[in-house]
Amino acid sequence: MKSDRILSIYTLAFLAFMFAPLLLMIVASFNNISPPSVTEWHGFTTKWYRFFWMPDSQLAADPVLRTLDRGRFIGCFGNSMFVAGIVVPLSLLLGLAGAIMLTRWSSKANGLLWWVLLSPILAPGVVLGLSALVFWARLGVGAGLYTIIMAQVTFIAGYPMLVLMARLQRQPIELEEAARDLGASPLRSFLRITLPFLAPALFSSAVVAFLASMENYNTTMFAKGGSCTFATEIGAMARNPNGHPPVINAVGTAIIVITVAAALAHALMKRREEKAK
Amino acid sequence: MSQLLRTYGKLLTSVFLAAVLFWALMLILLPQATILERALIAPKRTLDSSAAQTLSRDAATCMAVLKTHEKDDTKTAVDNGGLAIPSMNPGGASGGSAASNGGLAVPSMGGMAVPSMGGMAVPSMGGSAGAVRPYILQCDRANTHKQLSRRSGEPAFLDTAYGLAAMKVDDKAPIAEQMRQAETIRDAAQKLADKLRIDEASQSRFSTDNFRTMIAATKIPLSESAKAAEANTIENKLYGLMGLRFEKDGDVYERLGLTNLTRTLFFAILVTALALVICYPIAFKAALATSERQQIWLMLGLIIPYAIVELMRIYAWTTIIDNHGLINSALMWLGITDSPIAFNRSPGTVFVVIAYTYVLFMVFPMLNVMSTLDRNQIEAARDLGASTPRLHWRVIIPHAKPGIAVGCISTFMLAAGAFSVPRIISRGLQAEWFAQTIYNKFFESQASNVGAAYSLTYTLVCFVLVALFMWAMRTRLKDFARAQ
Amino acid sequence: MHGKDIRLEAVGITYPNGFRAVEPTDLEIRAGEFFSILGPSGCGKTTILRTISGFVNPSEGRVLIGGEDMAGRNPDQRPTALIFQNLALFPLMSVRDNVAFGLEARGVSRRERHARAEELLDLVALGDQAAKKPTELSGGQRQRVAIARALAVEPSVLLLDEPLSALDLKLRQHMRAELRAIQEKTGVTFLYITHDQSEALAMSDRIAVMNKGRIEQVGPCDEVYSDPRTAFAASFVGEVNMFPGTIKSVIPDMALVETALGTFTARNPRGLKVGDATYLFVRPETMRPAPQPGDNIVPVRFERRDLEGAFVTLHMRAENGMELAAQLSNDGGALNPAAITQLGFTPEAAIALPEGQLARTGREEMAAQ
Repeated sequence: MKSDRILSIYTLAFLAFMFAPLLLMIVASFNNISPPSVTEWHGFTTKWYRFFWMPDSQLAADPVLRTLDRGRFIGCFGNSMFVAGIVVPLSLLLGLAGAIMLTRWSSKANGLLWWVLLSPILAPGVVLGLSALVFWARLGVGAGLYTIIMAQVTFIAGYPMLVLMARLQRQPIELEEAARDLGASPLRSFLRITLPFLAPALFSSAVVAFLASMENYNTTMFAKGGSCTFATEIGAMARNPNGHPPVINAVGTAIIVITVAAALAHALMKRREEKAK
Repeated sequence: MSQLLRTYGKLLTSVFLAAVLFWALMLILLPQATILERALIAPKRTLDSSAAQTLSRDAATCMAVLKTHEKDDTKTAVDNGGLAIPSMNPGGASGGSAASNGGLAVPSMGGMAVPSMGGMAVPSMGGSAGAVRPYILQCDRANTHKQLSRRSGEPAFLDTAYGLAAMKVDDKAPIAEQMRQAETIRDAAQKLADKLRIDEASQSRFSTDNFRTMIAATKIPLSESAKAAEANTIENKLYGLMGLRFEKDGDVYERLGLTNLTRTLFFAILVTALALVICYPIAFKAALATSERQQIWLMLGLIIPYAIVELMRIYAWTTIIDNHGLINSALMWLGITDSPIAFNRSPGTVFVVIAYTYVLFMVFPMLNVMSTLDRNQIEAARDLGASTPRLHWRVIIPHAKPGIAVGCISTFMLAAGAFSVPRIISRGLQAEWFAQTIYNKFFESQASNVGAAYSLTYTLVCFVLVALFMWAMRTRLKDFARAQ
Repeated sequence: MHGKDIRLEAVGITYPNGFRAVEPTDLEIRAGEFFSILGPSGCGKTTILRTISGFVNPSEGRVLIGGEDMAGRNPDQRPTALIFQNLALFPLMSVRDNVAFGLEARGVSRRERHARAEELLDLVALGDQAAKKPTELSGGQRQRVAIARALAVEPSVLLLDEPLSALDLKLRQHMRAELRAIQEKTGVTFLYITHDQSEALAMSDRIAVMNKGRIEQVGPCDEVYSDPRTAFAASFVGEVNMFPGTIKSVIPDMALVETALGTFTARNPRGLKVGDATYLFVRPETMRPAPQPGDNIVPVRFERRDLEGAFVTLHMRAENGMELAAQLSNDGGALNPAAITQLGFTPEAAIALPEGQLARTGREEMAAQ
């Protein structure tokens, strides 16, 4: 019993360690001082949030905010959405193809294929960005959003692959065979039986791929050339010698709120599903 | 393959096959092959043909500048269209050598040829006495007795190596004569450059120079007192034991590329070990030692920080470790210190934040595998009288081993490849992590071929370590699918 | 619906890894009959089934259904329907959509195929369950959905791969009767694969006994049970007592067999000659504790009595340590088994077959797993 107690306290301490920096970040996002601080309270403000929609005149009046390039920030965010919009479907396609080849293709080369397809997940992110940059430059494609997409897909496709593989291994191969036996063409059997079976896994790996694409910094920094994404732009603000503006904290708080809401929704949905069973 | 065809038909099978081939070749294998190729090609400017080409270009620039000078000969040559600027201090002590030009001309680095300034004439701070023309760097460099880049360090010169006449632009000759001299040099050098380029094209383009650059020892300039102090740090003693740092003729040398790699790997292993110790109880608690109701909340508590954008998790730390951050304020309030401690300069802080950022990558693989353990097994073991340590050692750890292995590998690779954390936390203030070194080589010092060699070595070393670890843990790649 | 006949002509199957699953086999299954292939796991019976349905290509020989060569025809192009061991019901579709799936693949309109599906669900007494998901049904109901789904495509041949093995005993016995009834009602040829001899004997018109990729015997159930052709067929189908021995002398149809426990008279259907090594088989239910004149007699001592309901199995031990079993109808404990000192059996109940591989006993089965 005593050891259970210790374990519970330890777990709570661990969670506190994980959440404390995030809470401090939220607090600092409402403090009217730059760089963000939690030790000197200069009054409650929401201007770090309003930065994104306040009128230009108000923006120009603020000594901290006027140094920031709002248009560029929003442009970079748009780039990120564009990149993710291509990376997610492409990763799902490659991941699905990889999962099917690895689970349903019995061949001696299968073991080798495992190593090749999983190596990007294991490799340091910077190396992937760098090799995409050099490779596409060799083919005459300059660094930019295109190389970012290629570099990201290289490893992001591995996540759907792992998730789909786990799901495919749980699907009895007899389901596909039964469909074929009942007269369905391979395509119909895939679309009608296998794909619906994989749908939940496809959905969750799409979410994972989207998050991975949005937050990726290491790989993107190497492949980006002159372009920017949400993550590299956020990262660039750290290089401000006076410390980063609390706008970052505001963005972080928004991300935390969205994440918590999504996680809660997911947990509740799961609970309802289990109750339904 | 026939089974695939039978199950998925021609159309789907070819789509899958094409997708996998695209992924494997265009995104994984060929890019690495290009990096290998890059790493094996010596940077262009070290070739003899480029030395000759540079000479020819210098001579041509010299001619062009002399021509403008000739026109303005009667003037005091204040404004030469920005190309050549007259000496500001005629009759000064400096002999007009590039080394004393206050950093304007770039000195040779590590045995490489002096880079051309791209056709710009650079002014001198002091011209030599008795010269007819003002100081023009390119005219001084238009000398066939030009040093070539040699790895061995033995001096070799363009004129002696390729039987070129020893020629230079005599700064005491009349301008017209100087221009003629420059023209001769230009033509001879161009001819030689063309010939050398053809020769070089037929030779193998590949060399291991870039890898040698990586392992090369660099002289560390240190005063005697600093030397004594530095020699005593544990870090440097260890480097000494590994042969990465040594003293020769009273000077200290360090293989900077390798010490950097070693330090990064060491910290990555340390982060992994720390994360394993921290996370095992958490994974056990979440997977096996909690009621179902509690489990949902505990999982949420783990998933939320895991899902939050990595950069934000790093930024969250800045309010703690900044000069006016939480820790410094606390220390100053307690009177322990008067002035803030620069935590963001300390490698320890980067270490802690890396551990914070990647620790959850250890929890989830372990947790996922552990939760497949039938709880009845734990009860059976307890029923048979197993103590808690024995229960873990004999039942839970063996079952969770694939998850432990996958967690360790993921955490290690993330920590070893850390780039965002040191970049954001330290703002470039402290010793580089290896990923930063690669970035700097590639984008900030233009030594991209050396950077490619660094990147390749880095990948290979990491993969060898992971393969060894997997072999030792008897883990197979398939466990990655189980632990997700 | 009308059943078609199946003919295998010298069909042999070797897997890509070199494993010889089926030796060249000839087999004829008549149109509209209920035929079973009986054999231990790994004997090649499922491979034959998958060859007929088109999931495995024969390495040699050919498969004909209704006289047509099936070479080059995919599973979706054959007049067969397969019921899988795990049933392979589509978990995300309703029962109705499961049954209608084959018609959907053939482009039948929604209304029509739903009507047909409900008709078939009525046939298997599941008309009120059409909207449910397969996971919401019981084991026996799922079974019947699988049958309805297979029948919906109007196959000429229904292939069943041990579909009853997941059910408990009561349900299994009930489903046997139901399968038999459906077969009679539809007239479709049923090819049933099982390792359970009682299942095969209860339902089939004819059975084939298979071992190690070879068919050992084909015939009506009674014939295979009472006139086995090989040592394997005798030992796999039903319980047996077995005595190894040699043929001492031969009289028309009968032989004298010398064994470690004495010389016995037995039938000699395979025409064994004097000096041939032989296995002598006697079914436990033909062993009697009170031998009649003319019986073969084995001296034994009592070991154990197992009450199995309608009958009693007596486990006895012979002088040389061999274990023998006798099955008697349950007399309510009137007989004192400890008093039994000998067992007898008629020459007609004993059969001498050529020495050969035997089916594994329960103990061997356990050791193998």
